[in-house]
Amino acid sequence: MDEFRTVTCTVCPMGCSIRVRLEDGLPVAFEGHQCKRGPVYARDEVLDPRRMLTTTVRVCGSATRLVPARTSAVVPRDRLMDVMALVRGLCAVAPVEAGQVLCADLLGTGVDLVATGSVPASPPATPVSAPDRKEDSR
Amino acid sequence: MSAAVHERFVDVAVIGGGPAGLSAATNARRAGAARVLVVERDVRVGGILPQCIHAGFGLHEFGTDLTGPEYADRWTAAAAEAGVEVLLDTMVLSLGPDPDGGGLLLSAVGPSTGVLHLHAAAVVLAMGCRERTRGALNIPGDRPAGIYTAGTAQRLTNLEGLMPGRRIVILGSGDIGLIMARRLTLEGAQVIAVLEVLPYAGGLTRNVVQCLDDFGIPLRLSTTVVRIQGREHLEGVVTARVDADRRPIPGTELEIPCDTLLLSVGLIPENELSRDAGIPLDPATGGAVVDETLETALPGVFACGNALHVHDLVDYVSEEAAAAGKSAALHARAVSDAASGALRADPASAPAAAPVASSAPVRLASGPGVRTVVPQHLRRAAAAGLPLVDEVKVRFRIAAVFGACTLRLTAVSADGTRAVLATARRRRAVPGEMEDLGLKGPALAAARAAASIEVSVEGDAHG
Ligand SMILES: Cc1cc2nc3c(=O)[nH]c(=O)nc-3n(C[C@H](O)[C@H](O)[C@H](O)COP(=O)(O)OP(=O)(O)OC[C@H]3O[C@@H](n4cnc5c(N)ncnc54)[C@H](O)[C@@H]3O)c2cc1C
Ligand code: SF4
Repeated sequence: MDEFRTVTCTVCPMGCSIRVRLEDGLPVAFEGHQCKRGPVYARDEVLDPRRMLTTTVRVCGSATRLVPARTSAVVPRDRLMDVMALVRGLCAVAPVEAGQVLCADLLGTGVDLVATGSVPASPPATPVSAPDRKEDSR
Repeated sequence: MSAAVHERFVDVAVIGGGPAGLSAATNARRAGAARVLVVERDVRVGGILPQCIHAGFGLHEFGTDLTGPEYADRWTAAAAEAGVEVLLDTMVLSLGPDPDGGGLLLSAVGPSTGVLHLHAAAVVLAMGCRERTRGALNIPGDRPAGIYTAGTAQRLTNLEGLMPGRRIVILGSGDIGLIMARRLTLEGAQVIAVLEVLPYAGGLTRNVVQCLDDFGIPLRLSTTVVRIQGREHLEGVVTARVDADRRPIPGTELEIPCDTLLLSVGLIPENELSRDAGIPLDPATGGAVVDETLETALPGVFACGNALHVHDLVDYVSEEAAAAGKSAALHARAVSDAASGALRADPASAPAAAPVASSAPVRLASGPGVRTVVPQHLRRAAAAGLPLVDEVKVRFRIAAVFGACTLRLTAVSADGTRAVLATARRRRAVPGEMEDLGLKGPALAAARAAASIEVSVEGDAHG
C-alpha cells in the first residue's frame, strides 16, 4: 500500500517541496526536487530526522549565569524535548572552557553536550565594597 | 581632581566591538595601521553574537557551522593576535573633524575610562543596528507589560536565564523571530503562533522548517495584530488577516489569549552618531552613503556591518568590515604621510589631499525590483593614499520574492546608452537574503566611466 509524505528540503535556499512515495514505510520515489541532493535529504528526513540542538546550561560559581552549549552531533528530532528536560536540570561548575563536555551520552544517544563558550570562575556578584578599579584620573 | 579629560591619539578608531568592528580593526592592523583601538560600550566584545547561541555562522568564512559565541571567539582571538586594543564599557558620544589637526575627534565616556578625547586619523563606524519597536508599528491598545522585541527576549533567555513568558505570540517571521520560537518552545513555553503580515515568510526556509514545523508551531501569513488586550500585563492579542495592501480585513478578527508578544519586525542601522556628525544617510538602507572604499561623505570616516545596512549573514559582515578596515588604514597612512611631508617641505608646496577626483562620483541606483544598494557611489579616480580598488562588490536587496530571475548591473551613459556590466541568474531570490554582484577588470573600468549604474532584477515576482 502506497503512502505519501511531503518534505521541505532545507539543503539550499530553494526550499523545494519534495513529495515522497513510501512503500511499507520505505521511501521509493521522489518528486519536486530540483537537484540530486533533494532525495538524499528527503530519505533521511522520512526515515530518521535528526537535528543539532543548541541551548544554554546554568553555571554555578560565577557571576555569569549561563554557558551556551551545543550537541556534538545531530540527535533524533523526537528526542529533542526529552534532552531539553535533562539539560534544564544540569548545572555546570565554573570555570567552563569552550569545547568542554557538559554532559556525556545524552539519554543514551551517544551524543554529548559541549560548551560553546567559556565562563571564568568568579565570585557571584557581591555587595559593592572597595572598587578595585582606579577611579582617579591619570 | 574632578573629571579630568584623557587625550589619546590613534591611527584608526573603531566604534563598536561586534563582528564588524573586530574584523575592521583586525584588518586595519594587517594593512599596516600601527595604533588601532576598538571602543565598545558593552562589557564584552562580540556585539549581538553572544546571545545568538544557535548555529549557522561561519559556513561561508570558515567552512564550518559555528554558533554565535564560537564565531565571536574566533574573531576576538584574531583581533588580539593582530594587536588590536579594545576599550570596553566605553560609549562614543560624538564624532567630528578634529579642530586641532587634519584628523577626526571622538569623545567617549565610561565608568572606568572617564571622559576620553580620542584623536584618530581614520574612524570606522561599526555600531550595528537596533530593533524596530512597537512604537514604529502603531498597534492600538494600552501598553501593558509582556511586549518585547525578539532580540530583547533572546538576551533575557540566552544570557540572563529569564523566560519572558509562558504563552507567546510572535509578530514577524524574520529569522530572529523564528529562532526565538524554537528556543522558547525548547525551554518549555508554548508558542501559539507566528504571524506575518506579508504573504511569505521573512526568514530562511530552513528556519521555517526547523523552528516552526518541527514543533508544530503555526505560521499565519498575511496576518497581523490589530489590538492589544490587558492593562497592567498583556492578556491577549486580536489578530486579523490583511488584504493585498496590508489593511486588516473586517470580520477576520481572532482573539488569542497570551501573556507575551514578541516583535520581530525589522532592524534599523544604528546611526545617531553619524547623523549628529552630519554624515548623509541613505533613506533606503538607514546607513551612511558610502563609496566602494566604504568611505562616508565625511573624509576619513568609513562604515560597515549592520550600521551600514542590515545584513542577514555575519560572514558577509566580516568580509565587508575587512574592506572598511583596510581603507581606514590606508587613509590613516596618507594622513600621517601628508603631516610628515608638511613638516619637511614648505607647507604651500605640500602635496596635501591631491584634488584628482575633479568629477562627481558615479551613482549606483536601485532599478526595477531592487530596494537598497551599497555602495551608493563609485570613485572615478584615486584619492590621496587610497588607490582605486580593483574589485568592487555591489550588495543589494530585492523588493519582492522572485522565481527564476536575472540580477543585473547596467551602465547608463550621459546620452542614455545602456550597457550590461554584470549579471547573475537565480532560480529563486528573496528579500530576506542579500544579493551581490562583482565588478572587476574591463567591467569595472566601464562602470567608472558611466554616468550612473542601475541595479535591477528581472523575472516573475510573486508578491
Ligand atoms: C537581535 C538580533 C539577532 C540577530 N541574530 C542573527 C543571527 O542569528 N544570525 C546572523 O547571521 N545574524 C543575526 N543578526 C544580525 C547580526 O547582528 C549581524 O550578523 C552582526 O552581528 C552584525 O555585526 P555588527 O558588528 O555590524 O553589529 P553588532 O553585532 O550589533 O555590534 C555592534 C556593536 O557596537 C556597539 N556600539 C554601538 N554604538 C556604540 C557606541 N556609540 N559606542 C561604543 N560602542 C557602540 C554595540 O554595543 C555592539 O557591541 C541579529 C541581529 C540582531 C539585532
Ligand atoms: S532539492 Fe536541491 S535545489 Fe531543491 S532545495 Fe534541495 S538542495 Fe536545493
